[in-house]
Amino acid sequence: MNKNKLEDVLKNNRRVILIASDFSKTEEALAILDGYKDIKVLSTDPASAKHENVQEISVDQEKEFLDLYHMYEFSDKFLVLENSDQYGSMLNYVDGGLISFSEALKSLVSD
Amino acid sequence: MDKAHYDEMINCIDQLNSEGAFVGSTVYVFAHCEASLTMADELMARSIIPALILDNSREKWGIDYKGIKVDKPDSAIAGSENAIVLIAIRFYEAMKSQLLDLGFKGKIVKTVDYNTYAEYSLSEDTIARKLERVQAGKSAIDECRKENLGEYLVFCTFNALGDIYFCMSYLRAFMEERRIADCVICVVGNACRKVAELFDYDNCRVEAFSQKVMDSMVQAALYYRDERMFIAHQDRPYVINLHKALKVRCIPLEQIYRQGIFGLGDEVKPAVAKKWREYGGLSDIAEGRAVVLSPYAKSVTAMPDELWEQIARKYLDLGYQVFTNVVGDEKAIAGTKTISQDIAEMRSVVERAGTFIGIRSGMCDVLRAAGCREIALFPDYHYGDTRWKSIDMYRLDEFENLVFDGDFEKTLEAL
Repeated sequence: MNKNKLEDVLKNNRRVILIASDFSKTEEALAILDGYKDIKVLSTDPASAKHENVQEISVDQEKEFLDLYHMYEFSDKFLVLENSDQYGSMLNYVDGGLISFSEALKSLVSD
Repeated sequence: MDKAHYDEMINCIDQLNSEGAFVGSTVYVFAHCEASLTMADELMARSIIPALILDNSREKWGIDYKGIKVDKPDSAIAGSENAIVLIAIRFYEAMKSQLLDLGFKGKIVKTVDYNTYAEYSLSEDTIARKLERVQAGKSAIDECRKENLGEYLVFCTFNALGDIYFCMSYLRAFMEERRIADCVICVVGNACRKVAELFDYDNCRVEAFSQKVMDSMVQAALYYRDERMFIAHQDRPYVINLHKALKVRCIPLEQIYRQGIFGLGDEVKPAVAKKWREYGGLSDIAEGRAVVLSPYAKSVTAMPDELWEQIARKYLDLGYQVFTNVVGDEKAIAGTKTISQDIAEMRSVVERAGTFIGIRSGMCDVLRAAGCREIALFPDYHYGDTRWKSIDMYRLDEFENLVFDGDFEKTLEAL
C-alpha cells in the first residue's frame, strides 16, 4: 500500500487505524476492533491478518504512514495506536483504573 | 478569542462582505461556542443575520442565541447551493469534511486559522508545504536550545491560563518521575508566561512563542521523534486523544492533567504558585469592603452584561466598592471602576478587596489559593460535544461554584 492507496482506504472506511509495531496492546486492540466492519486496521504483525478488517503492511509502509501522520493531520479518520513518551495517552487512564482499555478504544473510534 | 484571532476574523468577514459573498446567501455559523458567538455578533452588527448556528452536540440543539437557533448540521443541506458556512474554531477541516459528506454544495469559509496542524489532503503540494513547516519548526527548536542542545522542552501548546496553571501544578512531579533536572517551558503569549512564572521552578526557564511558531515546533518535535520533549496538553495537537475519554467518563480538567497528561497518581499533590507581588494601588481598595468582578474570558461563552450590572448594583447598594478587572480595551461594567493589574498582583488585589466574582476562566485557577471569598460563575452549557456540563469539568473546591441558567434573581440571591 502506498500514499495513493491510503487515500482510497480512507475514502472507503469510517476509520483507518494503524497499530504501530511498538504498541503494547496490539492483540487486545485487534480483538476489540474485530467487531467493526467499517474500520480498516493496518498492522505489520503477520499474525494480525487472521482478522477480517486487518491489512498487513510492510515495515517501510508503516514508516511512511507514521512520517505522514507526524508531519500533519491529513485526515480525522486516520488514527495511530502507539506508545509515546512525548505526550499523554488514554493508556494512562487505563493504567490508573479509571477506564478499561475497551472503553478507551471504543471512545477513540466512535464518532 | 484573543485579539490577534479576533482581528483575523473581522478582516475575513469584512473581506467577504466587500466581495458581496453574503448577498442572496443563507449564512450559517458552525459551532455554538464563544468564538462562533462572537462571530455571530459581528455579523449581526453588519446586518448579516445567520439563519442557524450548526452544532453536532444534540444537547445544544434548540438553544436560542439572540434569535438564532442552534440546530444539527444536516439542517444546512437543503438549498445549500446559495449558502455560506462560516467556521471560527479549530475543527474547520473536520467540519468542512462533514458538511461535504452530508451533501453541502455551498461555500465553506475558515474565518480564523486556529489549527495549523490540519489539512485534509495528501496531495504532493500539501505534503511539500507541511515538510517545509516541520523544517521551520526544527530551526525554531534549535534556536531555543542554542546554548544546550540536550535541553528538555515542555510544550504548553495553547494560550489558556488555566491550562498553564494545571501544567505547572504537576510538572514538578512529572520531572521527578522522569528524572528531568531542568527544562524549557514553552508557552504561547505573554500572559501564559506570567502564569508559568508564578511557580517556583528556578531550574527551568519559560519562553513565550506565537501560536504559529509553537505549532511548528511541536510538529517538528513529533516528526523528528524528539525524545527530549513533552507536550503538556489534553487535545493539542491532533495526536493526543485524551478528551475522547470524556465520552465514557466525566474527568475534571485537573485530573486530565495529573493522570491523563502526566501519568501521575491521585496521591500526587499539586505544586502551589508562590511568586506573587503586591499591587501598588492597594490603598485605593477598601479592605474587606470591595468586590472585584472578572466578567471577561477568551474561550468561555460570555454572560449577559445585565447580569454583571445587577451584581455590581447589588454590592454598590450594600456600600461596597466594585471593580471590574480589565485587560486592554475591555470595558468596565456600568457603575464600577476599572482595575488593571499584572497577573502576579491579582492575588493581593482580591485578598485586599475580600470578594472576587468571576466568569469561570483561567483567572479562577490562578486565584485558587487566594484567601478571600471567591465565586465562579458558570454558563449553563455542556463541555464541548460531551454530555457533561462545564461545572462538572471545571468546579473549584476553593470557590463557590454557581451556574447561571438565565435566572437573574436566583443568581443574585446566591451571591
